Amino acid sequence: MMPRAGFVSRMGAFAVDAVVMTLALRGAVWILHAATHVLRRFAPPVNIASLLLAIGPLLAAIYLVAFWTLLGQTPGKILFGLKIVTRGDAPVGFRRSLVRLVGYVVSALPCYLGFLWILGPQRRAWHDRLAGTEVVYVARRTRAVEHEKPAAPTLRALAAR
Amino acid sequence: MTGEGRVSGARLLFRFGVGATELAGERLIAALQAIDALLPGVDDTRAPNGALGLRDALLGALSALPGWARDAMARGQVAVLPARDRIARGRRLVSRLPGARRARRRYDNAIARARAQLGGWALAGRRERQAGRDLAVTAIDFAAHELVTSVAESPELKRVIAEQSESLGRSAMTELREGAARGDSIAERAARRLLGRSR
Repeated sequence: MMPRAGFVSRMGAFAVDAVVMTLALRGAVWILHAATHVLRRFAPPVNIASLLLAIGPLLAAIYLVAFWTLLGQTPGKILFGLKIVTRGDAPVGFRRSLVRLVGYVVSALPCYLGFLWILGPQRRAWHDRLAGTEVVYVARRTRAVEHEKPAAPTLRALAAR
Repeated sequence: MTGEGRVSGARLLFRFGVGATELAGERLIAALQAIDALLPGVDDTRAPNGALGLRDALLGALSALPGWARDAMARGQVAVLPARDRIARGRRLVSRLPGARRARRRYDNAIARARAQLGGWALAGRRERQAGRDLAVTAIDFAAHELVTSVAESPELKRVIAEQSESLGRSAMTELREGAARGDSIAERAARRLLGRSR
């Protein structure tokens, strides 16, 4: 059984995901602005950029659920070497991902108190408990293992060949 | 192209040899002078121990040779000075001999022809030197560029760079993960202290 990830790792992964989502939204807004500028009077009467920002939470939800269901990891979690699994180490399905998303809201409602539960001995937030999931460290490679790997050939070695 | 039409391969090689030798010599001398300026002066306390040998004597003679030759030339010029009047008198006497005028004219013509020939060669040599330098600079630059390009495009080098970058990225990621994992424990300890170890 893999060890559960703690608060700092999970918040770091969350921050990376937030940056990714913000950048993606900003990019979409810029593209739409440019499209509106090019189309001028032929552009649709609605302000698409504002609409996009309004549906931002929905896009974030799609982003999270899609990554949880397909990979069990978001880009932020991949970077920090974390993975969401069920209690039996099985992958997270779509339904469980949806429950976990609702759990996010539940955790956030009382001043994000549900997230602080990660600091507890079980390292499980409210949304983890609701969805029956846990976030674990994956592919944790120690420095010793890294050093055992044969080093890449150096330029000097190449020149000597 | 130097505007001389198609130049033969042997001529080009010769020209390149002249230019490359001159350039290499200049650069080597400049480098040696710069290095020599950095070195401490030679004194006998730092000279190698042991008996003086023939090799030392030969090296000493060779190093003294240019100065000795210069001194010998100067001494010769001084020694010739008193004889100058006698030589001039002799030349006047010879010029009065029958047929001397014709011989003098032939001598002057030969000297003039030799000077003209030498002048022509000197001009050609100077042109050749300049063409050689230009050729060597361009050829060396081109060869260096080709070398850099072939090294940069070498699949082995690309593989090495990719592997190094990958391993660098991997180690940075490992560093980040390990730091975060340490942060996890620290945050939990801090939380436990805050809550008075109640959890």
